[in-house]
Amino acid sequence: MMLINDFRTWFPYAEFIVPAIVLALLPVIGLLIIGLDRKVSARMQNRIGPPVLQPFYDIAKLFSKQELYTNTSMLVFAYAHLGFMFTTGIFLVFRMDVIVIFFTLTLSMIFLVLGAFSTPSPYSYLGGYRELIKIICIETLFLFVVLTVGVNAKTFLLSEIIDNIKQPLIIRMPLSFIAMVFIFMVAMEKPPFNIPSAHSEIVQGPLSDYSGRWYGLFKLSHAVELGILVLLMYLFFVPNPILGIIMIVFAFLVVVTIGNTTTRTTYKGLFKWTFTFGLGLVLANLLLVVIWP
Amino acid sequence: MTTKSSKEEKTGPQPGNPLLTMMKLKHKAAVKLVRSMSTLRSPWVLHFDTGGCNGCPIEILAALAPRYDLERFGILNKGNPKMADILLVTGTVTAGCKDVLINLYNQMAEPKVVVAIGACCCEKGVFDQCYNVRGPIYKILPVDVYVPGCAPRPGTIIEGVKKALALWQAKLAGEG
Repeated sequence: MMLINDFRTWFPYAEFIVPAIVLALLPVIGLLIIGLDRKVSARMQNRIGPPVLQPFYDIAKLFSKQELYTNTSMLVFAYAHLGFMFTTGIFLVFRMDVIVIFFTLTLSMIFLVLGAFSTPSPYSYLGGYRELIKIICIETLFLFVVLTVGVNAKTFLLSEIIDNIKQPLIIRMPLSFIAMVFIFMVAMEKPPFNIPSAHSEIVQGPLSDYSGRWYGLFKLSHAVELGILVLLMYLFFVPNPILGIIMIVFAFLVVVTIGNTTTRTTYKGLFKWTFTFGLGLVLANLLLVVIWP
Repeated sequence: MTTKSSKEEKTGPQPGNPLLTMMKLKHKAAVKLVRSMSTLRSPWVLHFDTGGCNGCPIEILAALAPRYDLERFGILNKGNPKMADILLVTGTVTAGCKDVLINLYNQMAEPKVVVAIGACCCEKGVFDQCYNVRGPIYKILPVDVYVPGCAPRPGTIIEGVKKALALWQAKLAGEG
């Protein structure tokens, strides 16, 4: 603690620069997760698999392709999607209101759907509707997780929640953490719930009409989204970084294993799992937090 | 739609700050380096069968499956022409498929490479003199690599794709 205080007196801008570095690392974390997912999945299928840095190569290649688009409004939505994803990251790393994080995350995903609806491709339309269903499912769960965190700490301000923390949040809300892993699984678009990007049914889902750098922008914002979700999962273990990293790696392995051993459900399956399993967990946790003093 | 060449025409070579020019040159070199490093590692293929016995598509799928594992080179089978870099064509080009093939080729973003796989695609094969054949493919599309065989083994297909990659990088360098 002494060291941190000294550090602050030497370097007064630390409380701005450290979050800024974390913000810049968000897409890197997300891209590494995607790369590790592809590598671990390949090893599980007895393949060699692409290098871990493959998503970086993919994005660099996408940015060097020819620019092709059908109308300009879809480009605006692509930038808005990325922009609001980074806004969510800013709210998170500067420890602002959790409710606002929820709102901007939802808004960013809505821009993805608008981008899908602004293109003439029928596959984009189908993918957009499926993306809306995905948003309804995971944002409902996320809202109740946020509510549980707020009821537990009696405030929604992240800075106050983190400053007044005495024991890791996981002790009072383990079921919410499982729900967060469920949200992470749906957001990663792993097989049981990858209904928006089901490439064997609807070409690339909502992103069917995007190509080149515009598709790269969406890949980047997906990476930022995964980084945000990892930070939110880390929030459950705040004073104990080692336990947090171990549990996040464990959750990642669980998600990849489930993804490689199951087949895709329909959107009804996603509804069923979210509003029985997921919502049941979070509501039980909310009850637990209210009853347990 | 603005392309690079039109931007350069508007601004033109500007005399002035030598430091700025040097930085621009270095920036260009860095961009070129990143491009040449990344593009060879991430080719996405689009596979289109224009009619035939379905032997060559099976071999392509075998190349993508765990035994040959094309994904270790970063190669992914994208079902979307807008995101694909390499067009793998199999089968003789029939009357029904000709327009679809041209449409798919036109939807792909530059730089793009076409690989013709199998005897029926490179020439007409056993479907020569059939009433519905509009091939061979070189009369319809600019083909870069021919992979002969009936059907070519997965190893041959991978060899053809690798040659296509070299051509693809040459095209990219020519553009830059």
